[in-house]
Amino acid sequence: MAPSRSELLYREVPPDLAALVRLEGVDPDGAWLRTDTDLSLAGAYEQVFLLVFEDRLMTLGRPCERWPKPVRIHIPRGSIKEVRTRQGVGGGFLEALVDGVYVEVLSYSNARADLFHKAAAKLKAWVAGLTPAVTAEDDYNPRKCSKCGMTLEFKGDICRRCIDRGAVVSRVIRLIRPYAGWAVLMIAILLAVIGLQMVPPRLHKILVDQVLVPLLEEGGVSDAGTRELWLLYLVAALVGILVLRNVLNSLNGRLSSYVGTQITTDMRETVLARLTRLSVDYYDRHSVGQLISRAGYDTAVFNELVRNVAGGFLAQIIVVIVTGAMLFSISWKLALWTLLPAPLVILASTFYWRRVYPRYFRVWDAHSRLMNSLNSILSGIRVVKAFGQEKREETRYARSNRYVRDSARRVEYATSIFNPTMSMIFELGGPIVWFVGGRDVVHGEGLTLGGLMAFLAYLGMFYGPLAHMTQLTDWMTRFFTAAQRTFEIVDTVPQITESAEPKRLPQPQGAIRFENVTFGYNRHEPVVKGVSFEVRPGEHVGIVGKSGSGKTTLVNLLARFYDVDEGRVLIDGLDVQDVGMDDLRRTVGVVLQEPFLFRGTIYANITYGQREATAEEVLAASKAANAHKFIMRHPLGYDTYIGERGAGLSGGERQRISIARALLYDPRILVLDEATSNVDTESEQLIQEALARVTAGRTTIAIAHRLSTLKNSDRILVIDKGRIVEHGTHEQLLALGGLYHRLVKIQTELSREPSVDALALRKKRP
Amino acid sequence: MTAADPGTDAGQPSPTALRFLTPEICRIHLGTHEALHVTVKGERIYGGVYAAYAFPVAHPDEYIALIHTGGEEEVEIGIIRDLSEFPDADAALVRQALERRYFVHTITGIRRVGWKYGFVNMDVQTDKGPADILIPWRHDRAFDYGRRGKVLIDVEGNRYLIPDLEELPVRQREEFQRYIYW
Ligand SMILES: Nc1ncnc2c1ncn2[C@@H]1O[C@H](COP(=O)(O)OP(=O)(O)OP(=O)(O)O)[C@@H](O)[C@H]1O
Ligand SMILES: [Mg+2]
Repeated sequence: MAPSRSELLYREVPPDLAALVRLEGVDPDGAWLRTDTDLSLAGAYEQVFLLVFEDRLMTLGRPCERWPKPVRIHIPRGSIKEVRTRQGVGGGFLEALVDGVYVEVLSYSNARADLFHKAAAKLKAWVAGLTPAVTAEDDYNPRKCSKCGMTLEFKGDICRRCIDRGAVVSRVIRLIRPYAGWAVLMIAILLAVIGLQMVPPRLHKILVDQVLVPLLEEGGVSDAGTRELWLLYLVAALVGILVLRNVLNSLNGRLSSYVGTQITTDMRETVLARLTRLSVDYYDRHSVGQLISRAGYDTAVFNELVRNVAGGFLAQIIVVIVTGAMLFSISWKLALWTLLPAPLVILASTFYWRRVYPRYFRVWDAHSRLMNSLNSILSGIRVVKAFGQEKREETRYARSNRYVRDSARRVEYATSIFNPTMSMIFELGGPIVWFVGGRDVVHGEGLTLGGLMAFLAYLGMFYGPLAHMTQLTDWMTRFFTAAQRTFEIVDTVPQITESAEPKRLPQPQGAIRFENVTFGYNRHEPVVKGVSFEVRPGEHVGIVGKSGSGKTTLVNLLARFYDVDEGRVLIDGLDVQDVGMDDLRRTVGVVLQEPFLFRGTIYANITYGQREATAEEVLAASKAANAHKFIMRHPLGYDTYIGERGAGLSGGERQRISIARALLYDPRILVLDEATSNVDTESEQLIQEALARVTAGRTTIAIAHRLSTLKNSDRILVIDKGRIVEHGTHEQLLALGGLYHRLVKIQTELSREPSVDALALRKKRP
Repeated sequence: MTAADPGTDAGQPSPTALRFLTPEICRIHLGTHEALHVTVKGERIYGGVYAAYAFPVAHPDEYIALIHTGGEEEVEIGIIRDLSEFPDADAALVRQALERRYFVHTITGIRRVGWKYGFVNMDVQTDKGPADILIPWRHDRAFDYGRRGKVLIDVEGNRYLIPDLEELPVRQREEFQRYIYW
C-alpha cells in the first residue's frame, strides 16, 4: 500500500456494516479500494460501499427489504471483461461486462461522478491484471475548489463562493476613478448650485419682514424711498442668483454627459473585449439575443448613473440635508412636526423593496426573450418561409411581446401607485405647517410671517427632492440589475487562457502530434477517446469517418477552441496550451465546416485575417480557390457587397471564398473541414490541384466525406466513435478491407465515381 | 413489428425503421446480476438494457425506448408505446430501470430562497427528502420544463424538477420567481 492513503478511494467501512459482512466471511480491511456512493441501485439516496479485493469486487449496504443481505453484488475478477461508467440523467452507473452483458455494479449522483470516473480507471487496470495504487494523490480533483470543496464549472475556474466578487458599488467607484478630477469639479459646481438655491428664501424673509411689512415690526426700514431701493436690490439679487444657477446647471449637465457617455463607451468596449476573449464553450451555453441585450443596452445605465449622480441623486441628498438644517434653524418645533409622516415613508419603502423591486428582473428577462425571438426569426427567415411558418412566428413573437407588456405593466402599475402615494405622504407636512406655524404667527409666538414663508419655501425644497428620491429608488434598481448583469460578463473567466509564460513559435515547421487525447464537450461524455497520431511537417493528411465521429472536434482541439481533458496536443513539440495565442492562430488556419462570411465586400471577407494583403495576393488566393471566376461575374467584382452570413452567394461560392481567405492567411498548418463539400466535383478537382500547388510544403489536414477529395493525401486517418481505427494511404486502407474499404464501397455504389470505382474493383479482382 | 429493412444484419433491428415493442413480440426479464434483459421473439436476447423516455416532458409515461449497450454502439431495440400493455412484472422492471436512469429530485415545496455571489441558494422539500441546494444563477442552470415547469441544476450537477410552478403556493412561487424570473 502507498505511504499516504486516499481519503476518497480508501474509506473506512462503518463498524456496524463491517461487523455484518464479517459474519458473511468478508474482511473489509482486505480490500485495496474502498469507496462509497450516495445512491442505491433503486435510485434512492443510500450509502452503498464498493469494495475491491485482489480477486473480486462487491458492493455492501445495510440490509433492507430489497437487499436482505449486506453483500449486494459480488463478482469475481475473472468473470469481468471490462469496466465502464455510463451516464444517466442526473447521475451515472459503474458497470462491469460479465458474460457479454454490462451489469450495473452501482449508481451514483452527479456529485460523485468524478470520483467514480477515477475509480473506473483503476478498475480497468485491475481487470487487466494489474494492482493499481490508491494514494492521497487520487483525492486531488481540479474541478473542486481547494478551499471550500465546491464543484467548479471547469478546472481552473475561480470559486465564486470563495472569491468575494466585490459589491456593485465598489466596482462602480473603481470604474469612475479615472474621472476623479471631473467628478470633483462636478461636485464643486453642484455644491455651488445648492448654495445658491438656499439664498432666495432668506431674501424672501428679508423682503417680507423688513421691506414689505416693516410697520408691524420695530426697527424695519421706514421711509418709502429706501424701501423701494431695497426692493430693487433684493430683486436684482434674486435675478442674479437665478441666472448664475442656470449657467452652472448647464455646465454641470454638459460635464456629466461628457463623463457618463465616456464611461458607457468604456464599459461597452470592456464587455465586448471580454466576449471576444471568452472561449467557444461560453457560446454553447448562452443565447446571442441575451448577450446582445447585455452588451448593447445594459451598459447604457452607466451613463444614466453619472447623470443622475451629478444632476439628481447627490444633489437631492445634499438639498434634503441642507434644507432640513434650514428648517430646524428657523423653527425646530415646526420642523419636528413636519417629520410626522416619516414612519409611513419607511413602511412604504419596505414594501417597495420587497414586492416591487424583484419584478424588475422579469421585465429585463422579457426584453431579452423578445430580443432572442426576433434574432431567431430574422436569422432563420429562410427556414420560416420554406416551411410556411410566418403566422406561427408572428404568434410566437406576439406572445413574447405581450410578455414584455405585461411584465412592464406589473412594475409600472405598482410604481404608479407608489410614487404619488409617497409624494402625498410627504406633502401632508404642508398643511401641518400652515396650521401649526400659522397659529404661532397669529399668536405672535416667536415666528414672523416672513419666517413662516421662508419655512414653507424650504419645505417645498425639502419635499421636492424627497418625492424625487422615491423615483430614484426606481432608477437605482434598474441600475443595479443592469450593472450586475454587465459585471457578470466582465467577471466570467475564459476557459481557454493563454499560459502565463507563452512560448514563441516564430518559425513554425508544422509538425503536429496528438498524444493520448481524450476530450468531451460535456463532463464524462468523451467524444474523442485516447487519440494519438503524428503529422510530419508538410504532410497532407486526410481524415474520414462517419458523421458525429469526432473529426471537427479534433480540429477544435488543434486550433485550441477547446482544451483537451487528457493527453496533449503538440505543434512542433510544444503543447498548444503553452504556445502564445497569437502564434497559435498564425500557425493554424482553419476553413470551418460552416463557412461564415461577414456583411461587407467580398474583398473585405477574403482579407479578413490579413488586412495588409495586396490586391495581387488576393487575386492569387481567389484563383487558387477557384473563386475568381464567379467573383468577376458580379458587376462590382471584388467590391461586391454581400449580405449577412454571405447572403447573395451560393453555398459552394461561400466555401470558395472562405478557402481563399484561409489561403491568403498563409498559415503553416492548413485545416480544411469539409471545405469543398458544397462544390461540384469538377470545381473540386480544380481546387484540389490548386491546393496541391499552393499548399506544397505546408502541413494540410483535410476532412471530407467525399473520399475522392482525399485520394491524393499522403496518409488517411479513419475515425470511428472518437478513435482512430485505421490509418495509411488510400491504397493501403483499401487493401486492409476495413471501415475505409466499406465507406469507399458504399460511395462507389452510390455515386459511381470512376476513379474510386476502379480502385474498388481492382481490390475485388486481385 | 414492421417488415425488416433489406440490408440489415439478421438479428438486429433496423436503425432507420421505427419498431414498437409489444408483449406479443418481446418479454422483459432480469438476467445475470439483475441486469435488465429483453427477449425479442425470433430475434435474440438483449442483455444489459436501459430504458429512456423519448418525450420525458411532453409524454411522461409513454414512448419508452429500450436500448441495448452491448458494445460501444448503442442499439435501440424498440419503443414501448404504453407500458400498461405489458404484464405487471415486465412493466415493473421497466419502471425500476427508469427510476435508476432518471435521478431527479422533484421539488414539492420551497422553504427559503436566497441569493449570494451569483448563486441562488434554496432550502427545498423534495420527494427524496429536504435539501439545501446551491444553483449558479444562470439561464442554462434553470430551464423550462414544458410550459410551466422548471429544471434546476445545482453546482454538483444534480437535477431538481418543479413540474408545474403554478402548483406551488403563491408565496413560494413569488419567492422563487424573484430570482429565477425567466
Ligand atoms: N459544441 C458541442 N457541444 C456538445 N456536443 C457537441 C458539440 N459539438 C459537437 N458535439 C458532439 O460531438 C460529437 C462529435 O462531433 P464532431 O463535430 O466532431 O463530428 P464530425 O465527425 O465532425 O461530424 P460531421 O462529419 O457530421 O461534421 C457529436 O456527437 C456531436 O453531437
Ligand atoms: Mg464536422
